[in-house]
Amino acid sequence: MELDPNRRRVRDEMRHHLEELEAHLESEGMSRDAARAEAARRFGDPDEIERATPTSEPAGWRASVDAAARDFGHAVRQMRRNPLAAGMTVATLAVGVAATTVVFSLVDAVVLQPLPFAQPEQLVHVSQTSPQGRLYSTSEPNFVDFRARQRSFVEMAAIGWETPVLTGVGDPVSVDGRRVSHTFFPLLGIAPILGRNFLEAEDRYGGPTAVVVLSEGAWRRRFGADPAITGRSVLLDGAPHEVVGVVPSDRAWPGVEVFTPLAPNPDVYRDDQRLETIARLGPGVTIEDAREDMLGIAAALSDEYPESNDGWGASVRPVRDWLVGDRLSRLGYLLLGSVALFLLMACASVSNLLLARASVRTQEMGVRTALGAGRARITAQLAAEGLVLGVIGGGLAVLLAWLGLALVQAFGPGDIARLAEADLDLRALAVAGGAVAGTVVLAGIAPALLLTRGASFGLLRLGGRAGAGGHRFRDGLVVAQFALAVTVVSGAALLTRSFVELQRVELGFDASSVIRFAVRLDDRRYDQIQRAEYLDRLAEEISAIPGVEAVGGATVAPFSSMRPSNFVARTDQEPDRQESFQPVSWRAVTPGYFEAAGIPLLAGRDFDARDRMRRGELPKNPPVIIDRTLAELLFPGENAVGRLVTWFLPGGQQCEVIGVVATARDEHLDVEARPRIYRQFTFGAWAQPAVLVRVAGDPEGVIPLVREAALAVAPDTPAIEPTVVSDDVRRTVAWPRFSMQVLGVFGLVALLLAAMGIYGVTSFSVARRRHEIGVRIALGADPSGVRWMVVGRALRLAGIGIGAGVLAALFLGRSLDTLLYDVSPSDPLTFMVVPLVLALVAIASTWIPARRAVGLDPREALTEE
Amino acid sequence: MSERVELVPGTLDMLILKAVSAERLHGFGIARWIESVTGDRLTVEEGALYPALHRLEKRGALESNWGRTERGRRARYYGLTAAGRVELEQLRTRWEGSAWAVRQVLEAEL
Repeated sequence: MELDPNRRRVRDEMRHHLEELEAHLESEGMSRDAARAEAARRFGDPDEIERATPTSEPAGWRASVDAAARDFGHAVRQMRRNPLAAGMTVATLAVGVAATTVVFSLVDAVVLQPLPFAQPEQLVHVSQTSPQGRLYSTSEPNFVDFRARQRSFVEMAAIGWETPVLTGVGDPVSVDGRRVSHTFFPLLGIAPILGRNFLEAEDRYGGPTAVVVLSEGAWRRRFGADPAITGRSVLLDGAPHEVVGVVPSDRAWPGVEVFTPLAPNPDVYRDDQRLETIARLGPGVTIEDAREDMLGIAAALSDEYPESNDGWGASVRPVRDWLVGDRLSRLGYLLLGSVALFLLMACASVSNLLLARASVRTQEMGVRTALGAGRARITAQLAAEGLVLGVIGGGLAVLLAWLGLALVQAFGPGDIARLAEADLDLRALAVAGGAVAGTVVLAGIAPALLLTRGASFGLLRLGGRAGAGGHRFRDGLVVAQFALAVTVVSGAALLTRSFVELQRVELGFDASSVIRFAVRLDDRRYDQIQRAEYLDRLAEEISAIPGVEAVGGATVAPFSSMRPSNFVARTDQEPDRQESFQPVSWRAVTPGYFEAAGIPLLAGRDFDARDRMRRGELPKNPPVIIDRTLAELLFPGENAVGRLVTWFLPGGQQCEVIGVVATARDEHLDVEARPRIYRQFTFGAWAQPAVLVRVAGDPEGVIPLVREAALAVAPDTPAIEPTVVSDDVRRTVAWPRFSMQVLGVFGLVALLLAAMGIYGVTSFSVARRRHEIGVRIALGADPSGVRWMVVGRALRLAGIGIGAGVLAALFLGRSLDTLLYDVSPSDPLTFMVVPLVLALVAIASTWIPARRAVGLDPREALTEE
Repeated sequence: MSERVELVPGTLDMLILKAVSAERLHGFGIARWIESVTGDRLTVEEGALYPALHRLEKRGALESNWGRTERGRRARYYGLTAAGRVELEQLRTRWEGSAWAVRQVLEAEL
């Protein structure tokens, strides 16, 4: 074996020493042999001396590897010696990193990721604005005019919703579709993978519009990725359409299977606003420029078509705001913010745990220093321990994150677009892992720097009582832990309160025993009267199912993303400008709808056969039913039944109120219901009306029978997505529920970490002050006084943290405002209970160390030193 | 030969530092110097001397280099560093303090 350079040097030195000693003894008169023997005797065993000599610092990479291997071995032994602390550190690390990664991956997929379009920053969404300033879709004639007159955009495109029934490919099925301008795909930068895009001629009203572009997903799923699909004819709503192309649109428009040409009709009502408009900004044009341009056109249209466009403006915003939605973005940022706080908390906890271990080992460090271990050696050793913890924690974190993501995708809010696309985000993993690794290494070597600075003797002498600097720092960490815990727990509490309030919302109708589905009654084959007749037959068929109590039809289903809007005024006080009309939500419903939905009639009567529009006959005062909210707004303190209201704008159709029903909250759960007006079904049925079926028993069991009934009435008109309405309600609160759950978990873990932190610091402080506490007890101190001395010190730390946390939570809470329902962001109950809970946690976690302090045997404590 | 005395535990470092405070010495030289100034009453064990030298050097109190003795032999010479000089002063102060205290106790009138 090669000798350590230090040992070889000692050997050389000792040989010289022996020679000198022999010479010295000879000079004192000994014989050469006697001198040699005496020298050897006095010198003792050279090997022993050699062993007592410290080895040199390793040199070269091999020596470094040796040293590193020794350090890691030492680290693993240390962890084995103290498995609880090591386990807690690793668990904290893993949970912190995993939570950050999962949440970031989700929010990134749903909110942050760049939209799958070419230069998405140039894309805008154009809306019309009502005289009251709200955003609205646009109508076909308005879109044609906007597009023809605009000077800000490279191109504009409009999108209409439709769900045609596809027949001839398996069972008849309603597929999600869009009517789009021929400019739509080029504008977004989506190129067909097969065939071509729509031609301009196909997008002209009355042109050859019977063509369809399939999404790549539909092409693969329904047509087996047939490479010869173009030119093939498919039946949509019973009419043959030629497939002209296949587009990779699934990422941008998940679930949409067919696109047909918009072919806008310039002669339909301008107030039939059902189109969404997107556009690409021209070079150098800002959103403000575009808004000016659109406002100018809107003003011109307002003058040209006052009977429909009077007072209407326009608005332009980034397309992301439309696609992602403001509330979802806010929730996303809330989750990101919370997880960042949570990660900070995990870092604080990890450093606290590591520093606690380091303090306990002060004496060991002192001995090692005295024995000649250099500062660099000790630092390297502690860093190695941190690294081992970090690597194990990191590995666990990846596993946990992967599991967590799978769990969220399986059980999370299922209706969120792009959620399923979420993939473990490696950047997030790297950033979170890096933050924690940094903490671990810093927390690992900080004590080394503290401990090895200067006097090693002092350390030896002071033993376990050294390291006051580290001590102060750990107190600071506990304060930070409590502050962060209060912030996270307050957020969780506010969201929970809000969610509970949401659950308590009175819908005004019965959702749990009602099934809803849609039927496709397209414009080509059905007019309003034929739709009503079809629904009559369907209602008759479904009513025959045992357990069905009532059947009704409406323009759209409860909680549909379509929210028909209009304006009304009482006719005897009709304003001369539309902007003074009352904005309302409206539905056209069949007789029986209120019974099916469970909306009680409060005054007057329900619609009946008399009220139906007859062919070729324009009724003088069509009947309407208003809800209590609208009745109180228009006719406060008066009887509304028998009065006239004017529809849409000054000089509009006059309708007679025949009844008043209770207010139903069936558009949003978390927004006060808009005033509602109901028309008779024949005055406003759309191509895809909703049908509600009220069931006495288990609604799920009736769903298959409802499907059969629909096919019995018309084999090409299946019941589309029959669902129990209470499931819709649940879906509308999917994100509030999800964010509440995530923050709830964070809150619980944060509480646990805070408890662990203060327990650790207090235990350590009791151990450090054994001597002093022993003296106090020996001098006859009151046990409860000693206990409160210990608890009080911890409570002071917790109190500072809680105070800071409450301030931070109140400050950050303001950003929660729009996400909370019926709960103030500075909710007094939350801000009383949360600090109290944290204080209790602090007391509970310091009680054990406090009891240990009281139970100290003074004799033992005093003689120990 | 006069009566031998035991090295007081913990004083070896101080004696070594003192030995090299005036001139650079090799290990044997340090041992000899201590023996000679104490009239051969205090002998430094070689088994303690060398580990102590290396420890002090590692700590930065001593530095060393190879040199030639008067008799032309190769030997390791030790010298005091600035830190070593400070440490020597600290050790001396502490030693004198405790020696004074011990004397006070022993000479106290009962």
